[in-house]
Amino acid sequence: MVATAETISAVEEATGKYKYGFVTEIETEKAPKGLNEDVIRFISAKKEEPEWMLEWRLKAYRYWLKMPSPDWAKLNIPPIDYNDIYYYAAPKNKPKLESLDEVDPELLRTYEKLGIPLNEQKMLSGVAVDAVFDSVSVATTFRDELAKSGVIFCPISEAIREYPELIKKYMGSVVPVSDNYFSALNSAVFTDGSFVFIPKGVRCPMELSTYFRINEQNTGQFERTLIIAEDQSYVSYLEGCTAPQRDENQLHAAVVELVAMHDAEIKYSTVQNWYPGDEEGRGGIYNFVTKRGACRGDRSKISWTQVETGSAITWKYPSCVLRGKDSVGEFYSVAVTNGAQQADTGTKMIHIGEGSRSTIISKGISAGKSQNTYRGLVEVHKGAENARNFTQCDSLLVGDKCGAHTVPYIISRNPSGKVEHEATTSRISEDQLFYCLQRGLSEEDSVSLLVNGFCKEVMKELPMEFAVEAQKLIGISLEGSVG
Amino acid sequence: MSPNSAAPLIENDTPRDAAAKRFAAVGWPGKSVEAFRFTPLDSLADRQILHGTASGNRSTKIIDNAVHIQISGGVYDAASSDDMPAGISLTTLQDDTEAQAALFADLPETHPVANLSFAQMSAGIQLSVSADAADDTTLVLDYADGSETSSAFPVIIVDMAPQTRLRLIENHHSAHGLSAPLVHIRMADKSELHHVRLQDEASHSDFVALSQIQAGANTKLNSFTVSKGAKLARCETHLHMLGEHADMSLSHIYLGADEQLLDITTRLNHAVPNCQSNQLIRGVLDDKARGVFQGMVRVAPDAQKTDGQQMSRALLLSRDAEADAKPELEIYADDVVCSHGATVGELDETHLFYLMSRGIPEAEARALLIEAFLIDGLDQIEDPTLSEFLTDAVRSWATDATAS
Repeated sequence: MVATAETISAVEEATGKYKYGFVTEIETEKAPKGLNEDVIRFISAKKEEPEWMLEWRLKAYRYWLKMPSPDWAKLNIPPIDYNDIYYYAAPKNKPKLESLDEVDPELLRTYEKLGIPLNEQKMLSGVAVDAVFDSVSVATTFRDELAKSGVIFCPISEAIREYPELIKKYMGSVVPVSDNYFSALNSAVFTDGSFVFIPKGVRCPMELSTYFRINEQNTGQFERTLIIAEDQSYVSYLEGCTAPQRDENQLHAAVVELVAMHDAEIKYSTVQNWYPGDEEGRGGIYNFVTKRGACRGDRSKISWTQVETGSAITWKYPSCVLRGKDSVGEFYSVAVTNGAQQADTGTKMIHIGEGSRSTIISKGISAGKSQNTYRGLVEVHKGAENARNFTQCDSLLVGDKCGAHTVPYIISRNPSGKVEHEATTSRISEDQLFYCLQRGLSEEDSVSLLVNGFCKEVMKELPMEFAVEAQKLIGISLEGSVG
Repeated sequence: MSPNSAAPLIENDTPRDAAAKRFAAVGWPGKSVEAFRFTPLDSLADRQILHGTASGNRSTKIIDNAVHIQISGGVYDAASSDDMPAGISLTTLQDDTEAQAALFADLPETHPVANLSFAQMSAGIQLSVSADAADDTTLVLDYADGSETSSAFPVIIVDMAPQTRLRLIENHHSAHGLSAPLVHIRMADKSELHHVRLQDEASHSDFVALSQIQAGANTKLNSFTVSKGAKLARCETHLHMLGEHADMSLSHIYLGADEQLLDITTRLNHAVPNCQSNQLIRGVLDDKARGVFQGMVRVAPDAQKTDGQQMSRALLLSRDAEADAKPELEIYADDVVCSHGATVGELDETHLFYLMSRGIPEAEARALLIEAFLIDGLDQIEDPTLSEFLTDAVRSWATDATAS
């Protein structure tokens, strides 16, 4: 992938401040600040949820109260006051929408600024967009077309009402309520997210996409996403994030659960570009996400691809539990940190099934005064005959004030399992830089080009729509790190 | 009292009292402590602390022309040891408050072995190598004897003057319930150390060793460890590169069988620019044995031009064996070349087939392949006698493992 034209324009675009740092003014309806059982009851009532869902939330909340906040990551997290956060904010005047025309035009303009004109999506890209604006899904397109093939793609709150059996069966089955501090918090207060169900033998006719956008000041965003791929089905899901510029830290604790049955394949791609805070580390999003996929069926496959450029603090380990025979897990990641950003991200590959295979390719780029850590686990269980893992973690340092760290854990309990891990850390080759400069590229363009080359293995895994944006983002994120 | 000592001491507390208090405050770490998650030591709390006595026996020599230092029953046995050659002095630490204070200042604050062994100090020896010492001096520290109820806490300081060369061999073959040797090596500028360690303790023993090495400018270290004995053995090495152009090579081989738990833990601290470190770890695990490798390489903010390499490989011979690895890089400087690699797997069936198709019986072919797997490590030892001694130890282990 040659970066020339895109990269140059990316850098031009970036000459200003944070590109997506604007605020959309829409009236919202909020629950009072703070977290208690009443707020949870309020959220549940607002969502018109059945009783069992409320019970589930309250159970999670009571569990969360007893848990300590985790501190094992190589992150410096200022204490979070969970009672100083709004847990519910919904765009006001939200009727049941039949078409895009009914969506608040202010909101539509926001998406236009982001470069995702919903109106044109239908015709141009064949991508269905379930737009989450703050905490409520406002517009869902392509529903009818998806429905024809039997695919369910709707807000999770709707799924709780319409498909309670599926929700009861699968929600919390991959990431249990008690899994960790942030998943317990999410289980108690999640407000929205997407639900995807691909029935047996169906290849989802289009790539599904959700744009998350944090808008209301001081609103924690707690999405919950659940994707179920039945036997022999396929789905590709795109998640992209941009957020307006804010001075106060905003908490984001999402939970994403994927379930792949026999011969099913789920491809989950993320571009994360939330506000990273300013040079001194003021403001920015705290991104504490639990993402996990269960390869339950034989020959099932789950592939995570992520490009992480935003957020002040990232705590995120998209994982695969490879239970099915010959199941496959993949993790492709690019994490860019600049300024005062901190990222502790990686994956877990749990090999339980015979012949399960996994590939981990992680590219970390640190610049400015940032700290970037890869943390991963590869575990081969006793029954995972002939399991296979290959891991490659490369770190690139841009500047002498940043840090790059690699913390892999390998646990192997089966002799026929083969685990290979390699990691390298270096800075941009002076020879390569010289070569680019000598041919008339500016230093910034050269670095952007070389970094995109460094990430190529991951970028080629992204769907076309994302690859271009991701490439731009990497250039933008490294802005100001050289010279 | 050293101003650098980590914890403020209560008046009248000696450094050893302070260390004892530090240990008592936290005890043996369990698996909730990250550095001990794979090898929790809380079971050691059951071991009684009871110093042994010297048997008066002298172990057989493993190498000719070496200066023998006998640690028997955890105690330094002067009568069974050789006299020191010219340029090398041996002094005991028990009454040397100055040497104790200097060591205490360099101990990691919370390490259980550092604190307990320093406080207990069943033997305390300081070996000082001066410029007058011969270049080809070989010192053998021989740790022998002991019983299941005894415990040993030998503390050894090795002080190398500038431009000296030393070959240091540690032969651990004692039978204590608990052995916790603390070895502290100071390498002054341009000194060169060849360090060989064989851990072959009794099968009922718990062995937790901490070795600290401080390397000055232009020093050269070649360290080699074979760990095969004991029930639980943790060989932990902290290497601090404090002067530029230090060239450090560390190799470890662990050979586990039955229900052994063998742990190799290294922490390399590149504190200054232009140093080079190279680590090689090979492990073979049979039966229900578990092998652990934790290797941390830290590069300080200004340690530019650091070259840090690390490669660990584990071979599982049995269905019930387990290998855990946690290689770790923590890098704060940009102009560095650092890498680590880790693999876990079994013997390659095609290699085995190749040998067997040429008429080599299966057991022999397996032993041969195990030896070949370990050969990179063994190649690091220069001395032919020593290399042969350790190769024999490895070979006999491989033959035993494949015979069953």
